[in-house]
Amino acid sequence: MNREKRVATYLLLAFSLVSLILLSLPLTGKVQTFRWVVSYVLSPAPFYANRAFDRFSNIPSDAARLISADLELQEARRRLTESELVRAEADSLRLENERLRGALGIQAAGAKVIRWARVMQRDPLTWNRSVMVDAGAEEGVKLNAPVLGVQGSTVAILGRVAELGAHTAKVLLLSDELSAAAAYLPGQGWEGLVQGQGSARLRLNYLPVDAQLTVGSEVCSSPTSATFPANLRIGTISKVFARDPFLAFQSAEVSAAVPPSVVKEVMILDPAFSK
Amino acid sequence: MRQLEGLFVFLLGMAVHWIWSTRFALWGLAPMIPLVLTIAVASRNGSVAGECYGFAWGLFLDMLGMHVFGASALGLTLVGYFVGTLRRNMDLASLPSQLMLVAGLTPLFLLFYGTMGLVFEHRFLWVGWKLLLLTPLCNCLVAPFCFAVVHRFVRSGRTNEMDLS
Repeated sequence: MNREKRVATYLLLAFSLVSLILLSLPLTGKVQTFRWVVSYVLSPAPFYANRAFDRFSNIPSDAARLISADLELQEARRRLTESELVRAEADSLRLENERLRGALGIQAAGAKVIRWARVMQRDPLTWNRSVMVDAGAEEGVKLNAPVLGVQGSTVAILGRVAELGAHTAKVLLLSDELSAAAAYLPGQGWEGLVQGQGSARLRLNYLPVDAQLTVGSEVCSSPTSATFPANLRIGTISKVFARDPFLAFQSAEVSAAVPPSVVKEVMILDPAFSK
Repeated sequence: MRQLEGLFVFLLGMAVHWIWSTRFALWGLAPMIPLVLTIAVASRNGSVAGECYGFAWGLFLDMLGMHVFGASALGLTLVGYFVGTLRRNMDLASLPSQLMLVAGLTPLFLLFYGTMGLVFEHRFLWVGWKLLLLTPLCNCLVAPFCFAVVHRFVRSGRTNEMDLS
């Protein structure tokens, strides 16, 4: 056995041992620290490569935008003057609304948008499981914050923030096997649990056996959801599974309103909305 | 200088994989650049270099995902060792043998990743038939470029000479 082969064997044993420790003890402090160190050391390279790519790819569109910007600026100035009047009116209405809410004891509904972010990483190995976005703790993003996907004019639930970096966050998609959200069918009022399957389609479980389900029915987040604001779109029923006589509920397949594989921009909300 | 060139290849591999899989993936398909580069490094420089690069690129892949942290590092380390050992018995300088190796090891790596999920998370991390069957093809398409980059920037070291002696 020559020296090269001996070194290769020792390295194989050492690296395998480290990998197996990382795999076996993912939640221990030392492994978590190692994970953070790896993220801290390796993240900047692709992060800045991504930024540089953005800069170069945006040059033609930026130049075109610059030309039309002057015209838009003139129009914007005119509208700004008009909007001062509208803003004053809106302020007085908001104050009146708050006064009336206070008098009736109603709490304000809806979640607060923290910020918009762009999807900066999506890997085929984890295609329907997680994506990385370019906003992190320093931009005010919090752990477990609900994340909404935006495609055209459609806004729908995408997942929640599961890992947080300084300028990046990892979003655990609703289509991951570890994800679930309380959901209901607005038309009929039936409530169930939407669960990820690790594929593009979701599964709506625990619907009452007497529920009349139809393909195309819209599925929205339930007011009972602990993570997501109520009445946000999740998707539409694409298939109703045959009833199992041994189960006390029925299930349906849901196709996501905003498929995770096409989403480019996301809206991150304040997780404190439900408290 | 050699170390700087090695570092350059390592960073380039990460950046290209990141940008390609995020911006240019078609129907969820993108080549696994770190896997192809690990094979290229191991076939040119032997097991030691293959394992070191493989382990580091594997940690990078693990950092991107949220499941089985360490599985890609272990998988690519094994790939580096296996290819480095194989080059003693196989001519890995010719393109057909390189493509054959890449096409054969890609599905094995994906199945290994899934099995790691089964062992450590109690469910097989199935990537789907599409990815299992078509990723080897994608990897084969980029393999000549990856081998060329490794050939240009990762120089054979002293260990390599010893290995061939």
